[in-house]
Amino acid sequence: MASIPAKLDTTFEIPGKRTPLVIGKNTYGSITEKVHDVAAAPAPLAWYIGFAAALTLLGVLGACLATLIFSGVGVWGNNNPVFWGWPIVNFVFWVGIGHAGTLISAVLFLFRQNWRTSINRFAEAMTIFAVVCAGMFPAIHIGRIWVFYWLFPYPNQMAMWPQFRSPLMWDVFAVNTYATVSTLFWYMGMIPDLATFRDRAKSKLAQALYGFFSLGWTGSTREWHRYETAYGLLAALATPLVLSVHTVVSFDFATSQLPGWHTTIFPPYFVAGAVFSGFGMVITLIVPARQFFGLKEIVTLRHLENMCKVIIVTGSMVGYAYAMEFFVAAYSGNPNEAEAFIMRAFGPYAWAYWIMIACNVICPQLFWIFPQARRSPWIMWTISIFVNIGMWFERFVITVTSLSRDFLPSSWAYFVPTWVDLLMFIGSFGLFFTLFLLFVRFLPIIAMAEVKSVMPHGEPHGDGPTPADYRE
Amino acid sequence: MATVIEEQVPDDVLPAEDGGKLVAVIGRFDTPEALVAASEKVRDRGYRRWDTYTPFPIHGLEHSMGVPPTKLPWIVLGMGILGCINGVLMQWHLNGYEFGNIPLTDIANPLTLLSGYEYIISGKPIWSFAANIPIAFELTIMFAAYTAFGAMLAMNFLSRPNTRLIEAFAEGAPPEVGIWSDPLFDVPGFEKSTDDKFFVSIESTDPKFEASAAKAMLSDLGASAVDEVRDAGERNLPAGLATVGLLVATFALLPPVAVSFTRASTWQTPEIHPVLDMDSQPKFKPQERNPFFADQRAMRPQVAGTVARNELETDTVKFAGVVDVAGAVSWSGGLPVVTVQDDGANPAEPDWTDEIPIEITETNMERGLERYEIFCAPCHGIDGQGQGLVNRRAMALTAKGKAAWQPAANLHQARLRNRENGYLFHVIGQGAGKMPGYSSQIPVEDRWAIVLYLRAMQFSRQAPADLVPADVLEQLDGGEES
Repeated sequence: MASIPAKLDTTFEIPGKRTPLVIGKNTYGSITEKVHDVAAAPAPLAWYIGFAAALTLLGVLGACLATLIFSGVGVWGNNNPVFWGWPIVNFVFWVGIGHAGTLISAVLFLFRQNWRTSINRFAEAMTIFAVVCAGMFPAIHIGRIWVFYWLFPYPNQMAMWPQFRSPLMWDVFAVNTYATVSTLFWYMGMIPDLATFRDRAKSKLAQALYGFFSLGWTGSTREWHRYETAYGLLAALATPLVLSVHTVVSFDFATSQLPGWHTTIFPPYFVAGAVFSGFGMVITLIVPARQFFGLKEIVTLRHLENMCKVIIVTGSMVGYAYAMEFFVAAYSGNPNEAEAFIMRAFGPYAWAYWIMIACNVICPQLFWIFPQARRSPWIMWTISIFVNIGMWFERFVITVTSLSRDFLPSSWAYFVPTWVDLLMFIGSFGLFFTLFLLFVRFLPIIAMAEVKSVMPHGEPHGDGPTPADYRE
Repeated sequence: MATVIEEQVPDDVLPAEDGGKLVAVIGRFDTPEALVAASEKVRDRGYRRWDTYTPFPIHGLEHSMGVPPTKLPWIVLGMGILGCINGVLMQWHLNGYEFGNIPLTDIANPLTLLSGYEYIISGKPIWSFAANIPIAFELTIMFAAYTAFGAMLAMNFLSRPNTRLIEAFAEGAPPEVGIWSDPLFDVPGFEKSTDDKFFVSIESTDPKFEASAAKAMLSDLGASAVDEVRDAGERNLPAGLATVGLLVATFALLPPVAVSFTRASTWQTPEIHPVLDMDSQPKFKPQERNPFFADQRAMRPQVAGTVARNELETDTVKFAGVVDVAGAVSWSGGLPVVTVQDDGANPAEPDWTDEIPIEITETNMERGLERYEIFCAPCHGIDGQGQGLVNRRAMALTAKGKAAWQPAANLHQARLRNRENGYLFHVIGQGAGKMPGYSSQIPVEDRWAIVLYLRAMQFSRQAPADLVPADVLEQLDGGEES
């Protein structure tokens, strides 16, 4: 043992010498114990503080919703010409975040990227809670929220049906399909782990509830076989779905005639942005979580570094799209289009545009300029916060700058949000974190069965280091 | 052969006194490698009905066990295609096809509710398929994904060996049987199967099953523990669940019952109206104060230097009923203002016209009759004697001291018979005494038509009998006699 250094590089990616996905002296049993303890052991003080803060913000959201419903949409800053203000900005922001989960689960699964197993449950949960927040905004943006069911095709006394050629209708189908299929995917992935919780539960209530939701899982190989087939199929179905959802969201903009929106680059550009923001949010969440819940050996620096690399790629794609938008505007020869983009960068919203550029294009480049940045959890956490901010501003810039300056100079105006806009956005984080913190306390936050299936087992070959030799 | 085996039930499969009927023998292994090695040997010994239980999927194990590939992908493919067809047909029917012969206003007709609704959007064709692709795509994914999940669960439930779900259904057992419970869960140590231990079970329904031989084989293959799985036959729900379920179901019934009761009852008060939509909007009514304006009047006077509709009408005979004398009529907001004091003695009375400035035709006369019966008859009565329904009711209330009412005039009295046409026209439009003006409800032409009819009605009371056609006179005489 003396010849092996006390700390090995935990981010090795050279084939044949990759860092194991689980490091430390872990067995199947210790993985079960560590993950179960996150829910079973008394919660750390930080959890209670976080939960109290989240509940407070959730209350703020509730108060804002009540204000909105009783007073009408006039409490927002939305007004002629900017009728799509923060509610739509927030919708696109949250839906974008909601894409990383399915992407990590489905796309990385299809590409057999085994490192996903440590983070996929986390990311899927994040997806679902983000989609909950996202779905709320268009629902309240319709104004008369009590007739939201008019969005669905059902026989009614008006003898009318929805207009299926409207992108907003596509949104209804895309977001609902995405929300339900992601929930199925998340829940299905969790069934074996819920069975583990069932078998370790002490109280009658916990046994009954985990027992109910694990649906009598026995872990039979015949069942695993069908289960894995179904999981693969869901992954294969969720992959085009995740791409279609943000494509449809971008159609909300792209099918209009407005300068700055009416462009074919939107679908791929929105999808890249969604993945970018989603990975940003995963890092924001998982860096503190692995710290507080002692999961550093399961979510290793190699996992974090891989995510940083995805952020470099998608951040660069987003930066390329920003540049390409200017090229498209110039090359189109359409004076309104050109004017819209010049106004974006140098007009009244230039401040927002340059915040977006700084956060989304410049920040992620630090990951390759300074490799240390992608190996230090707290530096990457800080950068991930900037990514989140930048992506919110991207949606703000797209939505507000285009609307505030359309073809007619007489209808130009500067958008100013109200306090309800602001508190509602902050409150949506309350909803998100409340759900997330409950998830952390009551459900398996790491896909135990999947981690166990990629764990190094048996005796190491040759005289290479064993997983137990790696330390962070 | 098979029947013979079934009849010769081995002794050790019979229900034991303690745990119930033996359904399987189960052996525990500590590593996945040991399990895979053991599985291959169990397969080679010719067992058919057996299974392995692992905390995580061990890839390749199903091949070692000889488990055939699942049919799940074909089911998912089929449902995905169905979802796509459904998405296309739904959109075509609901947006691209209206039932031509049913008016959409006829909502009592169930076909109306099922008819499509053709939107004309930017002059595009009613059915333009490219715009229908996103929803068809989403429905394809939705159907396929739900199926992948649901069919996987269903196939797993149905194939679970120890719970015999199909038998339970056939016997009419409650559906909870077999979904959440399994005799395996009663085996001590089996909870490790979701943690870090691996199990092989040989089921008692296997043709080659013999409990002692199976146990011996599992021990030989390196099982660290061998147990019997016994089915005690109990599939009990957690205590209290039935009570809680019954309570929840009862309370869930309350809202629909309350709604049904309310809908079937009659109410004196307005119905509950939780969603106000746009029922109460801020607005100003006439005569209200509006601090926005300097004079604080909500009603706005005519803007200086503007001309209102009809204000350029100069035919005073037609529009005011007054012979054109300079200064006799002033105009305000498009209406003629004729100042009258209704005591008949005032020399300031304008010079009322005796003309009727519309054509005297039967059509106009009938128009006048119709308008008279709509606007005048409620108070003045159909016969003009001032005994309309409103008048009678108001007089009855006045007699009880519950109202103050000036009786409607009898239109046949001499004073009104002798007044000019212009005066009658003026009163219909501007009112007299307590009678309000009807100029906003009855256009000028119709007011003259009423005057025309009124004159005819007045004349009918005074006309000599020889002017009445003989057949009508007979009717009148007959009426008087009866």
